[in-house]
Amino acid sequence: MAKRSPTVARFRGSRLALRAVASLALCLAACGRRDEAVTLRITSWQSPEENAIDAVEFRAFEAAHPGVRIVNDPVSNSAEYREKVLTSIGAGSPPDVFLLDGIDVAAFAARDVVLDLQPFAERVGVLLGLFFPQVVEPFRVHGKLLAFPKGFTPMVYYYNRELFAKAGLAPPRNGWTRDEFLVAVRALTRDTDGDGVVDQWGTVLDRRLYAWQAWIWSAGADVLTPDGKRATGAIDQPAAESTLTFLTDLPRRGYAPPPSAAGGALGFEQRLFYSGRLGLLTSGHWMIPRMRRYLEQGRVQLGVVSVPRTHGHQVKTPLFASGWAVPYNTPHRKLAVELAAWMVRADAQRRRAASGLEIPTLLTVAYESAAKDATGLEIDFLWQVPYGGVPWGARVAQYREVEQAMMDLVDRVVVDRVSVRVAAREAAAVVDRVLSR
Amino acid sequence: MSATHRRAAMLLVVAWSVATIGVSWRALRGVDQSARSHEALALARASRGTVPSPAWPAGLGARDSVAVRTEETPLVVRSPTGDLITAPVKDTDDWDIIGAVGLAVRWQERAAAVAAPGAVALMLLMALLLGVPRVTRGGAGVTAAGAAALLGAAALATGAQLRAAERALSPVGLDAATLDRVALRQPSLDFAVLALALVAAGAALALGAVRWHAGAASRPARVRETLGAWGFIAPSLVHLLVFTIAPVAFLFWIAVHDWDLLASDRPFVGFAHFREIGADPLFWRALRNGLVYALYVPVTMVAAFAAALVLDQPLRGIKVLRVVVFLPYVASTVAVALVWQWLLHRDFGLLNAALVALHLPRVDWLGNPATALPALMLVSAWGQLGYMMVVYLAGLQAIPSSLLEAARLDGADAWQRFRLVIWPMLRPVSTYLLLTGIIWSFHGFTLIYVMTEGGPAHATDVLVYRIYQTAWEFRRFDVAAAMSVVLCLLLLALTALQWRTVKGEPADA
Repeated sequence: MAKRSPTVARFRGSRLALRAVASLALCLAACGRRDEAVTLRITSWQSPEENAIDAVEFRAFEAAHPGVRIVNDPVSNSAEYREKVLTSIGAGSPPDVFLLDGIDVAAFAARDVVLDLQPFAERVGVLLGLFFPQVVEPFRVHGKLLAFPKGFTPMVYYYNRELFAKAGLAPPRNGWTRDEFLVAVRALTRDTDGDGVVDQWGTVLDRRLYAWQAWIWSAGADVLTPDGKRATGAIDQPAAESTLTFLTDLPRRGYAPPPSAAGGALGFEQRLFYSGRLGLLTSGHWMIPRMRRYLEQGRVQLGVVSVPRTHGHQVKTPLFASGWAVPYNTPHRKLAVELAAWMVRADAQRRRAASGLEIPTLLTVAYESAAKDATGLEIDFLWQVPYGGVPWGARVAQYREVEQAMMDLVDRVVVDRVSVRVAAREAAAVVDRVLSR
Repeated sequence: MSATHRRAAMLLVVAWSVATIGVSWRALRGVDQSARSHEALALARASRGTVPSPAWPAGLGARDSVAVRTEETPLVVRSPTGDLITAPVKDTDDWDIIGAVGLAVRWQERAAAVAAPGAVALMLLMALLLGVPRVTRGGAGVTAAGAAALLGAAALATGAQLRAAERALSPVGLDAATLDRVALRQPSLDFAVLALALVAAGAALALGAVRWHAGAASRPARVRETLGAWGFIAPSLVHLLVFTIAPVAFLFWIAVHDWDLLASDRPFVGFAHFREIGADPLFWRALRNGLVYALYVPVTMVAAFAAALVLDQPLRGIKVLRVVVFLPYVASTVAVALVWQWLLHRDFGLLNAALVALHLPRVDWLGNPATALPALMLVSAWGQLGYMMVVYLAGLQAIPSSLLEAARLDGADAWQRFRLVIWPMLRPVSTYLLLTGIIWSFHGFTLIYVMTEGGPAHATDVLVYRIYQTAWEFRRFDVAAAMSVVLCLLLLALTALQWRTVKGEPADA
């Protein structure tokens, strides 16, 4: 190998140093350049399918607001979503618009981190009188409006029409009672192959509060006292205890399989239902997109009916809504409020309704969508709305802890075989302690 | 030191110096803009609802291009004669922008104020550059002093700049029409300050390196080695300090304060959170579950050792078998959890199908509190078996064959060879696997999160899952931090035990 001359080496050394200085200068110059457009960041826990629908709205908003760019930054896991939103607001770099779950309203309101949209609603074309009042209500806290509601669902029972017919049962009707429900699940529970083991169940027991809250309400009882400060005096009262006894007896009597430990992460209950091994399943509107195609093709024959009420009481179901909210510290307040309003306007809701994701919050769009619905389920969903109530999460900041205590209550009865009375009192004591903090 | 090295060192210093000057200039502007921004925002808030009367300072040119008006954010208009820092003024409803107020800074006055410290900085730089060749030859302390002086002069210049800016300020009002004619940009403070800090740190390091290199010959070998070693571990040390030690210290701080992510008031509460978790039966249950869960480690070790003994044999296809056993360890934990959830399902699970085929009753593996934790331990053992097997295999293959041969010549049978040679030789491996395995078992989260969510009836609730739930579902970060401190101390104790045990092992083991 030829030896390098000192001159060449010196030249190369100098050239290297010059390159380093020039690169640094270029880097500094590049870092100093800024984009003239305003970027609005929006986030939600929505699925890729929902984000694809919303993307159309984002592009339309950008076209109507030259110089504005929207970046959608969704998080698929709802627990991680809350973590991300709270952290970013706390760190001073919040998203400009975020999706607020109705059951998180109180928790966000307690921290005073969400902008009151009430004063701006009319200016950005959100006429609240056109929305279902029952779904605006969860977002109102002390006269403030914390989000523009975009969609909602009541809790209902889906039933398999074929299984009902095979069992010689008439399809259930909205407003049916607990006794009628019991007759149905008893008839639907069967050993179809004669091996001595039940392989078709009447229903399932979901341990999670949101799934059985409507049962308690429809028995004239509640989980918390009306002021939301205690559980003692509510969940441990005879009406609530009787309902819980009825529900937890379902797996004991064999009308429901044992509840899943992991809250149905794999959707075992849904699979039982889809495969025709379950007569009744409690759920929300979110199940529709997954089975819409089969419904329209007639491959699955389902109906929707209210959660059974106790004789002498009225149906009442929680309405789980979500809405677009704006953090108090967004650097683009006006544009953010405009974007939140844009996402709940009629066109946007129509597009979402067409995919079957949720019930639109605008009355006209909701009824229009129900009129077009080929499955016939939407009208039964709308039947529930007048009987809808505000979930406790919209009123109690420690709702997640209440939810866990109520799930523990069911576990204590079903798994630990403790009496409902003892379990309800234990749960009430835990919730009282949580709410008194 | 060779001439090439000296030249390289000098070029390095020159490059860093040029970069320092360039970035300093940006940083000065950034610091100044930041100070002005706060004042402009305060002025705008005080002027809410009042349309500012236009007072366009002479020399600032209006431009036609218009950026979208940004709210609540200070903006800067740049011109050859100075910067104008503005903040939007809104109407009384805090909705529409009706103008802007700002503070203008003129460059002429600023430049005059900066001239003296700037000249000093320049002279120091020259002195430094001239001193480098001497430093690299003889190890004089001029380099370090020069670097310090340069940074000092930069600080002086910053102060002078800000003082000059105070004197050069003039308030400016822009009505909506004027505001629409100017192009606004956000001030770029953060990058500039960060870059200045990095460049200054880099310059100091580079100069330190030159000085150290220059004095290398006269330094004792031991000192050279020590410094060299610290140099090698420095990047890891910095990483450890920033990403491990500092967060742990912060964790201790959170645990003794009433700490909410979004609250500004975070009072000191002493050990209140520790008392709270002490009185919480679920915390103790999670701790107990964690200890029981850790039992999968010794069980797995026994299985892994047995597997290693088998897979150490020179059999046909043994390598493929080793890969098969090792595979679960590298599989995604979430995927493993989902598959096992299916396998263990009461109605659809393969395990129950086998039981039914054997005319045995079905078991609700994950739904029964008596079987849920053992089921998770089984899955963990399956996942860890491959790793432990490989470690044991390495240990087995490291045992000198001469020892086994000697034992055989002395008449030792297979059991005696195992008991008196193989097992003692593998004791350090076993200690390592046991203690690290137990430590890792306390980190077990994913399987539990996916498969059982701590249920049923908290039968699989372990400390890490409880910490997660308390912090991110219940949003009680302070209580979760107290739990984390307990876990941290527990793991520290285990680590100390490991160290003691490892140190106590014979050196030849």
